Amino acid sequence: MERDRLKQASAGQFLTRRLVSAVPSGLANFFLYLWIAFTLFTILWVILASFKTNQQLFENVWSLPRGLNLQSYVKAWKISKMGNYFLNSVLLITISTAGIVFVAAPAAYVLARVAFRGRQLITNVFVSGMSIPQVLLLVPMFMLLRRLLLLDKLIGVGLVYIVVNLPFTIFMLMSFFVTLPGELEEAAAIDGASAFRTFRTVMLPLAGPGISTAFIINFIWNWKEYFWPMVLISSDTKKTVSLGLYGLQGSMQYSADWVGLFAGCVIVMLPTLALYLLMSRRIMSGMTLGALKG
Amino acid sequence: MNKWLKRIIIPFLAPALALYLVFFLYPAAQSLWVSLNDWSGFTRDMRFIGLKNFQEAFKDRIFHRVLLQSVGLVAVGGVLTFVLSLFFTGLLGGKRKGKAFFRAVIFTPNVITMVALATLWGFIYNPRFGLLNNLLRLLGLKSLSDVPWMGPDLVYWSILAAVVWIYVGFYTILFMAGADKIPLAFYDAAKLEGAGSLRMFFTITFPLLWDVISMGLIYWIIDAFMQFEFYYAVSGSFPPIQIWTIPIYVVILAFGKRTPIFRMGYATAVAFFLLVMVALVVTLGRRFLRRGSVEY
Amino acid sequence: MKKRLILTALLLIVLFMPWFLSAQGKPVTVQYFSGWNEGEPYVPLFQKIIADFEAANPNIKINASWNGRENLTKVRPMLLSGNVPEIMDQGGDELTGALVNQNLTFALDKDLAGLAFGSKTTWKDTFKPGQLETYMKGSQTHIIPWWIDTTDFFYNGKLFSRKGFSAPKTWDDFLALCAKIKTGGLPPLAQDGGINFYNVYYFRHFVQRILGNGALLNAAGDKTGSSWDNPGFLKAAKMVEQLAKNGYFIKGFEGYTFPAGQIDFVKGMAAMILISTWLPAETKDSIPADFEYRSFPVPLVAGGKGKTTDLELFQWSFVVLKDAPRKAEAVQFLKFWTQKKYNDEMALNHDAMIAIKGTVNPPSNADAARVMDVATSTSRFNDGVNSAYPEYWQAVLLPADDNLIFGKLTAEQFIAQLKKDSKAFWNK
Repeated sequence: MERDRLKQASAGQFLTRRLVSAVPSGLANFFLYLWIAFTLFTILWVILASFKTNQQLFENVWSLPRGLNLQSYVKAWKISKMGNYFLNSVLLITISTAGIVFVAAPAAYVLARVAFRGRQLITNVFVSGMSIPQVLLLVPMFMLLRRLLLLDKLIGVGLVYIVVNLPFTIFMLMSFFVTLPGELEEAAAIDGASAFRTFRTVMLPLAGPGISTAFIINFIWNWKEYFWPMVLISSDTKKTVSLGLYGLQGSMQYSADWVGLFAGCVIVMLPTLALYLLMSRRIMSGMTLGALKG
Repeated sequence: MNKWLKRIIIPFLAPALALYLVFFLYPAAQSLWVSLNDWSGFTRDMRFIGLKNFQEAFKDRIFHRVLLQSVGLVAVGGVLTFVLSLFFTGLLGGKRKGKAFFRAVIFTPNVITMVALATLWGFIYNPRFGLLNNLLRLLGLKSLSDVPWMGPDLVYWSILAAVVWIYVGFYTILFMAGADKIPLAFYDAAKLEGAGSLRMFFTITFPLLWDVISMGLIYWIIDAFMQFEFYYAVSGSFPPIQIWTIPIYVVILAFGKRTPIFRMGYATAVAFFLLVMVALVVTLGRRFLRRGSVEY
Repeated sequence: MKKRLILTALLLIVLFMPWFLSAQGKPVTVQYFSGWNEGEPYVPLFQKIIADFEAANPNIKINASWNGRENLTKVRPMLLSGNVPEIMDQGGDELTGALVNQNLTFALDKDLAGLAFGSKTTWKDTFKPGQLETYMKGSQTHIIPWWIDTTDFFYNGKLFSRKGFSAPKTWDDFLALCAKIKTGGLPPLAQDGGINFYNVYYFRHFVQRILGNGALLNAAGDKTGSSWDNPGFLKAAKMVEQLAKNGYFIKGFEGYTFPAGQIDFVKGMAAMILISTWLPAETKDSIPADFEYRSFPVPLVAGGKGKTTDLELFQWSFVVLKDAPRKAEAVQFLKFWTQKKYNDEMALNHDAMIAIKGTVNPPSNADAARVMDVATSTSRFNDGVNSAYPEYWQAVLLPADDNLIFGKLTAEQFIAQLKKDSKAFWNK
């Protein structure tokens, strides 16, 4: 059995053969290709459709656009104010995501690497927050922000974003911080540098990958969601881009302007897709990190 | 323990703890108080009614229906998602050309806004211009294209299918990361003892992956019960009751959709129900599923 | 020394005078929370009205939020945070249920007694008879109606004349027409099955034709649920059941998400649609070349109390909120909005029937306008049920009606369910 423990190679090949031999190989692969094709096709289709006119769309859903019709984008950006919402989102989400990381990283660091009384308790308090439904906080958060006069203000939404993402981000950063070499703190202490300076010059660079992953994951998540802006924002001009798309979808029904709606979709999809194309591996591992901690 | 570390505990922990306490735990605790009141969210007229909201929830037929629908998503959606995810995990494990590409594509729906995905699927199921019906007509299956995919009978399943499509990506990546960790040596040893492929799956792969699968199950239960954004946005104007999830019901109770209803106290009570239920299922699940972690 | 001081003081005054003066004329802002979505075809006209008003009144700025139909749910947080918009608009029925009945609006009788914009008559007198009265709260008027709609069966005049169909007057004529259309291979009725309050049009209007105005409202508010035993309701339900059973609705309509149903109608996929007169405004951009909007009111039922000239009025209206700061400017804006030139433009370009006297007739709603001129009675939208009992409307009546029209319940089952659910709802 010790021999087994020494070998840590991936079992992928065997897993493949064993699992797949239970199903006719050709059929399995065909299904895989179908799935991939469907996923790619639908996303590409939306992008292509946004360059059509409504006439072209209804004539033939499969046709390629005749000429690049940017009207729908102009309309979505200017008239439907997706441009404003895009700006709102960029500002809000960049700043609040930075806030999340700024608050979560130190806390995660301490919880992961410093033994003190109550550490397990505090850790559990944070982590258990992941299973609290956001919808439970709906009414109390609403009341709280009202009292603080932060209703209908993007700052309020930013604050909520920081708080609701704390549990997962701390959890994620903790699992990252435990992997860093332990001698570092001792080395720094010997040097005699102040606590913050040590953290900044020694730990932070090493923690770079984990922190940037946390930033990217939170950015994508917050960009995607529209629940809190929907609840907290009432002014038209303060909407975020996902909420704007939701509103666009509602108003599209009265104008039957599907291509305008697709243009809006593309505007919303682009940033997260772009980030994903650049760092898909990082994003995939970061988003699924939690479940791996046995 | 060195002094440096001791000094940073409080300043490093304080901001997070403070924010968390004030803006997360306090509202969460307050929700219990709100759920014991009848409140229109309007003026300060909160009327204490004790457990009446919870009693009403017990008898609320709409809540029963929504609960059933949610459980259906957890159960049926869960089975579909996990079977498909494990299938892809098996298919894509190990050395394989284009593995990274396939993984990335499968995961893609998870980085796209739910609203955009909802718009997409709303269009796919559109009866006259939608992609699905047009495909069916292209394939000569005209009678199938007359099926009302978004009609009251089928919309639940149509949307469930879409949700599964989204989450298969997530769980495939999750399981693959776990599968990549199983030591090759185990399979070598088993083969030496003459085990067949299927037996190896059930005696090695499945048990060792079990940790990840069970963690995934917990994740799925939480995720499925909390579904909101996709369901809320998928039918454009007003989600038909057939696709209401518990969070949707809470939001409709608290704010109304077009007709303002504003029963904030009752809405919070329903949300509290959800919390208790999720906590229970997760706790039970954890106990039942962790038949001792397999160490290797 | 003193001279220097005086000079300095004068200098300061001169320097600060412009600031002081401009602060006097600083623009006040009026907030307008609109139930319209920015993309709707008539919104550019409204934006023009706003721009014209601001040009004519440089010290008043109108801040419009195009919130869409969820306008009313959006205003609550605003009200709670003390930021009250001056003007809101939506259907008078919804405004009544959500705002007027909650004492959130300002009574406008005094302003109505004042002069209309650029006119020698009072604002009140400019309204057509019966319009202001529809949603009055006791003796007070809180609701200013503007764009009014009735509900009728629409058809393509060109199609009908081509096929030799004619608008029916009675229910039996209507059934015969539907049968004729169906055998000709065309679905008689288009319908947006996903919009539950469009579905209930059938039952609601059949009830009116049989039992007259107020019957539905009465039954909805009956806490014992026994009002539903009146045979008139069963008869109305049977009429809906008959349409569903005979397959007169376009196939698959249950799964239609708006606006699939009305687009189907204008594209000629079905012969008729029961919809309100905002149809031309919403669909004009989608009609084919040979299309003519025609309509007829819900037919008469033999022996019934309702007449075809009994009108149900949907009024897209304005309210001024009680706790808003700039109510006077808000009223000024509303008077400006309701002047003849904008009324006429709305009627001509968007086929709207306007609540103000003397407005030109909407070209594509000529039939409905003609009926309005000879109205014998007016009733609130949905007989007032959704303004008086919004939760009941959503939780009891609409879901049961959906099942009736989708053919899942027979008429008897429908009535039984209404009775049961009403009792359960009112006696929670």
